Amino acid sequence: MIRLFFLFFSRESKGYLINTNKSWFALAFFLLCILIFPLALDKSYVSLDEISISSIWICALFANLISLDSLFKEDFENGSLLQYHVSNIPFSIIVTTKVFCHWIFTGIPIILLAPLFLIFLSGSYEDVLALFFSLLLGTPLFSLLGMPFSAMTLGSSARAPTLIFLTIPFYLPVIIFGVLSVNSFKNSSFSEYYLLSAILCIGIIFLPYITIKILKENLK
Amino acid sequence: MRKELLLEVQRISCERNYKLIFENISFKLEPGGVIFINGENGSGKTSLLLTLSGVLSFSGDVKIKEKNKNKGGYVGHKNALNEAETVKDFLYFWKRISDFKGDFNYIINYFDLKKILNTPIGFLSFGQKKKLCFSRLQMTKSKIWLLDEPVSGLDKKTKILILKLITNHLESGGGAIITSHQPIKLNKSKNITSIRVD
Repeated sequence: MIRLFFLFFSRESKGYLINTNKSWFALAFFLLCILIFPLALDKSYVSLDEISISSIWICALFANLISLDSLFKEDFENGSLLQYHVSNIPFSIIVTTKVFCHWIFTGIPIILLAPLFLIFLSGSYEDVLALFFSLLLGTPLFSLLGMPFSAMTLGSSARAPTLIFLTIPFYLPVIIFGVLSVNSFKNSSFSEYYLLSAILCIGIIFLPYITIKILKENLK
Repeated sequence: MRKELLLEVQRISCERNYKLIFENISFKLEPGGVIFINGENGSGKTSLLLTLSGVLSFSGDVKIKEKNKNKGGYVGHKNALNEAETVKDFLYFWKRISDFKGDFNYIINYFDLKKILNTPIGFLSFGQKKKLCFSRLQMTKSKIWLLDEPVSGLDKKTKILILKLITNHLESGGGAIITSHQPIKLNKSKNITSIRVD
């Protein structure tokens, strides 16, 4: 099982590095979104400092959302998923490596870049650590929560809008607790972090299992 | 089930999206045997192969020799190839996945893949992609090959190579279930059954 995991992991990672649509697009979208926020803001009403955390979270959400489309699409369309099923390769390995790589190539760059953009937007170093930890818990949840919907909408003619409308309601708790957690960090109360951790633990256990069921149904 | 049978199918029926695709199909596949599945477009030939490969649910009875279970050998309409991957990466990936310990160079040389080893699969022609599918099939060590239109759209040379490969597989005690619109001539194969799906 571990050998299979590493085989799929190295193949998937290579795919992300070669195929620019898969990884760089989400990151580029995140960067562009962040840059647009200060340009679109009327500073006489709201200061950039006040909305910097929220804007980073919103950009992270949408960057994750657009990259969800490519999670299973290629493998479904070219018949690889069917081939894995026929070859009796456990779908648990495929789903785990896919979501893990998705987080590594879209979540981690956002986690690493977000503190820099926070300084750029707010001009202070105060919330850098708080934002880093909240995104560390939030971005894997984005990948995990989006995974079943990405599997569910495979083969659908209106895939992109369906995927967005189905996924966003499930992202709301993550973004709410994510933004709140940065404030609670200042008061040394970490309740939102515990909550995000709890959702993450539940997600790691159940969401891959649900995705496997959906993928197998979709192949039929 | 008789000991020498690779596969025994008894009165299987399949429904897909609440529509009956085929019903009451029975056949037996012996080592070295070939089952040709005939039928018009949309008659359920591919669905029958997918049923036998365990993807689609069915009613009826399919008996597969225990040691052949969980070793799928399927070549379908979709090539299951990652366009961005190179031929070399693809072959090594499936070699490791299938834990193939046979002559790997023989597989590369058989289809003359040496000169395209570093080419991304997206740049290959239809025929070359089909060769990769059959290279993967050889590595899966499957006794039962499920082939959906294996030679359609191929040039004469590639067609001969693939038919020779199937013949070798049959000679080594394997079996094949093939759907095809064109008549396929397999040399030396005596045990050929044709079934029609309507």
